[in-house]
Amino acid sequence: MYNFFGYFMAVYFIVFGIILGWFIIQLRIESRLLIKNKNSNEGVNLDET
Amino acid sequence: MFFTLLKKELFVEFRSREVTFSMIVFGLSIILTFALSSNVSPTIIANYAPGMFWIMVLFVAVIGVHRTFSYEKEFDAFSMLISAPIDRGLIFLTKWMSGFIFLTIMEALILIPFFKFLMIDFPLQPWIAIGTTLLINCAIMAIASLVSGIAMRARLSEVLLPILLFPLVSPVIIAATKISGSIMVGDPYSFWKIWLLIILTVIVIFGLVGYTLFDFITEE
Amino acid sequence: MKPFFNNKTNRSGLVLIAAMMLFNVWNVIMNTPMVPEQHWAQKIFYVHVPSAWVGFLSYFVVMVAGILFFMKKDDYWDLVGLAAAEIGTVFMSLVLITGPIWAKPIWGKPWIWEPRLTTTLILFLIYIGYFMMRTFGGHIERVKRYAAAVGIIAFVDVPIIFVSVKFWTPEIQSHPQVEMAQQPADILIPFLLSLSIFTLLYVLMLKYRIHVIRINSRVRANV
Repeated sequence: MYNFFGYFMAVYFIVFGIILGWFIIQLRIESRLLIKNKNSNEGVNLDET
Repeated sequence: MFFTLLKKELFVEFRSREVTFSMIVFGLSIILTFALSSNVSPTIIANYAPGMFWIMVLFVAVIGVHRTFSYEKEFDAFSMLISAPIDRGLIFLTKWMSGFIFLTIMEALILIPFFKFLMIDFPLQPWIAIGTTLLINCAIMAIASLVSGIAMRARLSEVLLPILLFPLVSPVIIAATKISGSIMVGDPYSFWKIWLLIILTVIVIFGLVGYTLFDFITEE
Repeated sequence: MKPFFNNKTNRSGLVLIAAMMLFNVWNVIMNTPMVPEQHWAQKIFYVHVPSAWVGFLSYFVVMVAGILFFMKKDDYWDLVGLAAAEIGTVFMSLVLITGPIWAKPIWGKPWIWEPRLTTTLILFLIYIGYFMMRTFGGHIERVKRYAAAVGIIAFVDVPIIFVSVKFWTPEIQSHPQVEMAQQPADILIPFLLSLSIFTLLYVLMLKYRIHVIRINSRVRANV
């Protein structure tokens, strides 16, 4: 690896991997929270009727 | 007003001498640990002496500032202090000054044991050494008092205070070690001028920031 | 509350930025000159330095959010501060991870007390304290104020930390690669491009994270 291509690949994989991973994690958190929000809101509406 | 508050702090301390006493004892035990854990030649210890001194001061400062702030935690005196119609920035200034005074007293008493136990020579320019040490104490206490105001009323305050304080105070420690190191060997002023400027900058900036922020931090 | 990417602007923003990032990598691989003796390792700098830039930018946002929180007493700024603190820490972690990987071929050893890396490390530690304080600070209203204060103090300290670390070990100068102004145009332009794309990515991430934190606090309030 005298031209250090391995180091280059490692860094780019890590950087883009972590950024991509961040987006995926946020999407999962968001959908979980929105489902929870919908459930608790439905509960509220039932009480009002 | 400031002097009334400061007098109160100092009177409380003179009655029980809790804070200064615990700081001195803790300082001595740190010096002992340094001496026992390093069975190396005196020249090497002389090189590390400034660093060891300021590490010791930092740990002792944490104890001291923790004690000065926890006085107010007992009996919830802090709420009473806040509800008084005074500029809350003054509370920061009082804690800063009293912490500085306690730290200086501790250092004055611990100086001789420090040099004798670790078998180091006294610095070549004692008055400059004393002057710069006072300024460095001031800088450390400025940051420590500000961080204490934040950390003290949290859970795990004993842990949170050093965790927040040590990285924030690292430039002061770097500067302090450089200044003390230079003074011990008698380097001319131009060698350590930059570090002195850093210390003065810390004092001015964190003094101002602490004075301004304390009002906002202690709102209820 | 709707998902963030239901909104057309956000969705097109995501697609655009993803495309730009891919273009950025292609650009770095194809259009940048190969520096002698460093070859591919030098190209790490096209993502390492923008990551550091975004990290510091984010921490600057935390400070501004803290100041605005104290001035306007609006909880929105607390959300902004938290989001910016998290994203800043993510990018700083990237800097601290890619730094050693970059340093090994360039300097020969994984860690050196280079001023910028050291400042990053100290700042990273300060923010660990920030997150500990958010968790263990006690009453939530108090914690918001403390967090704003720590955010302000941390960034005020940054220039002081940087100057002191720089003069601490004068024999370790920043790697010449990192001195921007001295770079020839065919390195500088792709670098600036990468920098801008990373900044746009940051804005998107910040807006998204603020949105998610807001949903979170609303869910907590409902429960």
